[in-house]
Amino acid sequence: MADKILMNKNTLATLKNELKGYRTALPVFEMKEQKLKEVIQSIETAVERLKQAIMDTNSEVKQWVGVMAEPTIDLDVLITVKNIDTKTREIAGVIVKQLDTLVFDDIDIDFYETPLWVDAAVESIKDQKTNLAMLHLEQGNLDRVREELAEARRMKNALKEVFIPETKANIRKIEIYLGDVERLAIGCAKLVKKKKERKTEAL
Amino acid sequence: MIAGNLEYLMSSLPNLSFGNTEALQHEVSSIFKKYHLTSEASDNLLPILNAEAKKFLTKTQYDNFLRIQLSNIHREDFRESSNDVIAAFSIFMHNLKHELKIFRSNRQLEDAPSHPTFDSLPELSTNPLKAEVQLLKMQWNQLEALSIGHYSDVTALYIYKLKLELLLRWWSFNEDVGFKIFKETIKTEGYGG
Repeated sequence: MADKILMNKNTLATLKNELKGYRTALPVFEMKEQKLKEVIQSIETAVERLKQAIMDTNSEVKQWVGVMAEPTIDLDVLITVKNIDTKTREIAGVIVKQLDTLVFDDIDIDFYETPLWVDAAVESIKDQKTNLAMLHLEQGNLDRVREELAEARRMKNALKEVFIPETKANIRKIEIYLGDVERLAIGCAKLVKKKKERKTEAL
Repeated sequence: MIAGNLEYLMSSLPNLSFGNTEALQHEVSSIFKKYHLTSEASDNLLPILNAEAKKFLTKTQYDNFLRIQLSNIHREDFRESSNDVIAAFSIFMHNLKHELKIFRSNRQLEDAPSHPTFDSLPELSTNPLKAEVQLLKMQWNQLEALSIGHYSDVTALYIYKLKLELLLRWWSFNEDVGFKIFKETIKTEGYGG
């Protein structure tokens, strides 16, 4: 960029225009960075909360989970996810997904033939599946927002550390060059004028 | 085991008591394994009991012995059995299962009575494991009550089998295995996203 600039007024005008654009964009990326940091913090809090809920459910289930070892019923058949609906919203240019509904297949449990513990097992498994689905979505959100944050930081740093200083330097270079050219032209013009005046006087 | 009469069989079977200590499990399974001359794991004791019972029972008795199982004892044909003890236990199990069915159905309803009265069902623990043990204990006590007067006849052997099945069911409750099944069940599908 700095090596091949044309030292003329058009380039100077273009560079000044670019600098103006960079100066407008910099605070936008700074604000975006700040906003994304806040979003990441809130998603991280949600992820921690969900992880805690999953651990709490595991601890609670462990107190009686031994009954699930009884080889009488296939829990997989009783609890299948029918569909997962998500809703999306845009935060600072990133699409964030949230769990809207998680619908399980409505399978009737035979209360006469199945053991009593099956009811509690079905409830706990549904709760944990819902928690895991939400965690999965939040972790996906976190990955996307972190990626966007990295991009915003790259842009901010590029503007701050490269584009703006380089453009300013190039503008300065062209201004000095054009100033020198202008002074040289004036000097030449004065010299020519003096020569003409001397010729006229000699005649 | 030396072949002989039913009295000999009953006296040579391991003593069963309602518990799930490792010592009890080891004691019962090691005696059964001695009969079977095997060092296999203790989780399959019923085939050994069946094999031993076959030596002492007539064909009809043995067929009945095989048919009687904890998982099907509530069936109508057992409720109408000519064996009073089997019929009584079958009716008890049918009533218990019926009350459990009502209890479980009520739990699904928001406006269900909070404490419905049942004939045989006590107030059950909210911990499913403890509730299952409560129910097993009820069934055990019922078998104990029905076993009075039956010490070395075929009914005693039927009761012994049912008691062994109750214990084997209790002993099958294993936290590590159960938690593994729980973990596998909750992560069987993708979640999109």
